[in-house]
Amino acid sequence: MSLSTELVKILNAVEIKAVEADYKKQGYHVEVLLNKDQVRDFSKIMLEKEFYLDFVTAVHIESGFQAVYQFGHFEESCHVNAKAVTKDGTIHTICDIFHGANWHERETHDFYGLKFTDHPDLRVLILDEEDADLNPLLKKENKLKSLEKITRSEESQDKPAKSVKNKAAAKIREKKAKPEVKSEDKQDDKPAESS
Amino acid sequence: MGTLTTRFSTIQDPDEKHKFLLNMGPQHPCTHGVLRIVLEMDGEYAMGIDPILGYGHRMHEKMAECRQWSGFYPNTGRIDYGGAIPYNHGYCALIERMAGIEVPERAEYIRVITVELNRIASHFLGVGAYVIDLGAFTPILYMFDDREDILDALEDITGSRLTYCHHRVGGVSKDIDDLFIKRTRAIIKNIRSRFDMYDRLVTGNIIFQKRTKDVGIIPVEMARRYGATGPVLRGSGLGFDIRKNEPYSVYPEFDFDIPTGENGDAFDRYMVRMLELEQSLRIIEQALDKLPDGPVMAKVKRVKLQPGDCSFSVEAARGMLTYYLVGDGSNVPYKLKIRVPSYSNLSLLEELCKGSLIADLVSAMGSLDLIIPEIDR
Amino acid sequence: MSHYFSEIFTGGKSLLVGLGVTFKALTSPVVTVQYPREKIDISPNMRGHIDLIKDSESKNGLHRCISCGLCARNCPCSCIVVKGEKQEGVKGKVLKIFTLEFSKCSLCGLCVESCPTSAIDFSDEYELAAFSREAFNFDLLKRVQQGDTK
Repeated sequence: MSLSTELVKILNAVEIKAVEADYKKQGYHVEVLLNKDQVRDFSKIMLEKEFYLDFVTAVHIESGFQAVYQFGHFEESCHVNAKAVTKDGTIHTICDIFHGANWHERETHDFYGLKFTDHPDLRVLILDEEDADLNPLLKKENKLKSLEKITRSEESQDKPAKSVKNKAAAKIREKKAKPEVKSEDKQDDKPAESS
Repeated sequence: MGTLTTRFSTIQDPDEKHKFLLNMGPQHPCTHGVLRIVLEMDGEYAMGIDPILGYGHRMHEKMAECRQWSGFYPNTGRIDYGGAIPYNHGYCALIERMAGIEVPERAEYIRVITVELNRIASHFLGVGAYVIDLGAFTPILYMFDDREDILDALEDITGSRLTYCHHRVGGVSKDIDDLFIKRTRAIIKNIRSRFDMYDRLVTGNIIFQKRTKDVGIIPVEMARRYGATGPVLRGSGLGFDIRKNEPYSVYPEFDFDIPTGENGDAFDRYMVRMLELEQSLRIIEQALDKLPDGPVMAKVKRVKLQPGDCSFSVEAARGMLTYYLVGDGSNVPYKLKIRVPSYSNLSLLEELCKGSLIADLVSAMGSLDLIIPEIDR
Repeated sequence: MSHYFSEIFTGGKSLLVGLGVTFKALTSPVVTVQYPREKIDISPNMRGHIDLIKDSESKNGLHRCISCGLCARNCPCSCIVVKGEKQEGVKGKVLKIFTLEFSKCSLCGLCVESCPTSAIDFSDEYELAAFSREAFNFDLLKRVQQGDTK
């Protein structure tokens, strides 16, 4: 059993949603969708399984932020990509588990203003102190997109229901779906009328 | 700046009265001009280490979000100016993986040849600068002599000497010719003949050995917690290399070894770099022998970045480089994260050098082979 | 005590071996080039700033540019300005303005690759120091008219 299948089993056993990904298309072997409060439990499992931290970053989306954690393995070919959506701009730190996360979280805080709770030292790292509130990677409202629009379409159906944004996305989907239905109806109707 | 200063100003404990702050850099030669480290000194021992980054910050990630993906080509060569071609390669390979583009075989071989030549040039720069940090001035001149040949050869096909922009999505921008192949074979022969000289000049030098052996020991477990990769990790005895572990491009077709150290000290990291030169030469030699004919550029239709994320890792000269891209269906990346190896490698400095002599700090830091603008991005 | 002396001996030996290398280099031929007086031949593929290629066989007898503006659109630094005008009696557009703001250029070569008529190419000039920024705003059309290009 390869490490990625084993990991998916372990994670699913503790109610963390994990699926094996298509490495050739996505560049990682396991995709994990976390709830905001599962981040610490998840990274403890990763440390036990001897993974190393690749990076921590965030993506600015309509409903808040999507924190992205990527892990790799030194002995086996296994990359793990974990995503957690946070709506209030806070997420728990993992820098006491993976010490390397310290700087990655500080950088993410610099660029996005995402607060990592219980982080020991969350001051500016790369930006100047004067620009601490600049958060350069925040997007303007007209460029902001919903989570649905930046995720792979096959996967969006498998995702756990995620409240407000998903409702909005569902609405969009309904809107999109409706005209299609109408057009189909029309197409069906037209020959009926002509005949 | 930062908590160290505030901590210092509030020191009340009479036992700590003799402590003082020392600003190492940004002008210190060992910090390469763009890194400042605030040290809390107790005599000659560094008790607190606080690197302050951002002097070379250019916000490449924002630039990527503000232009079409093709406009990011020149930026990739400017993140790590010591070894720029792996960065070119990683970015092109990422877009290819996202759009499902097949690259002609000859183009892949040319990519590997240029990447490995650049890796050698980068290791010469890194080792030369490291030895200069330790006070030996001459070796860098010999190393730059060899590096110069490589830069000349690379200039002949890429058009530039340092900030290359040669790889393109679907292939490479310029084919190599017989002159380049002849020249590269001469370079390989020349560098091989100089290894013995480097052994006599640097490796065997007693002062160099005393400055580097048992200094800055990184256990594998510590490297894992911090995500250190590249020669820093391999010096600790773990042969992790993306070229072997997650083969990309045409690397599986070549026969090469991953040199590793034993103790994880500064000397081992230096030795890993020197041994990697030989492995890179082997890869180039095999690639030149096997070089197939054919086109160097695939036909690429207009690429749109489909919704969804994608990551690509390559082995850059300093460790694992990961590009992580989130697309939204347009041709402008929604998010691009560049995971640079030096960033994680530097973050372990505080734990590595706490309580060590300042001279050992210089030695340990130099052995990490940092390119600071790569960290700042 | 013997350890002390053996260390001095091996240390001294390693220093002498290293000095031997430098002494050998001292007697070997000089590799330094006295730059302003001597110059090395540069590679023909070197990327300098871009230039319009002079082509007397082209339609207008000077260059092949059809002012399509693809180079300007593909430029990541937007440092190229191309403007063409319609003229009576001439098919297509006539190039009026072709400027390059070289201080912004990152020499990526996307403009040269995108040109459908191969009208532009890299020049081989590399000694481009100047005292003002304005000195790097090249008027490429004027350069090709005056015959400054290769």
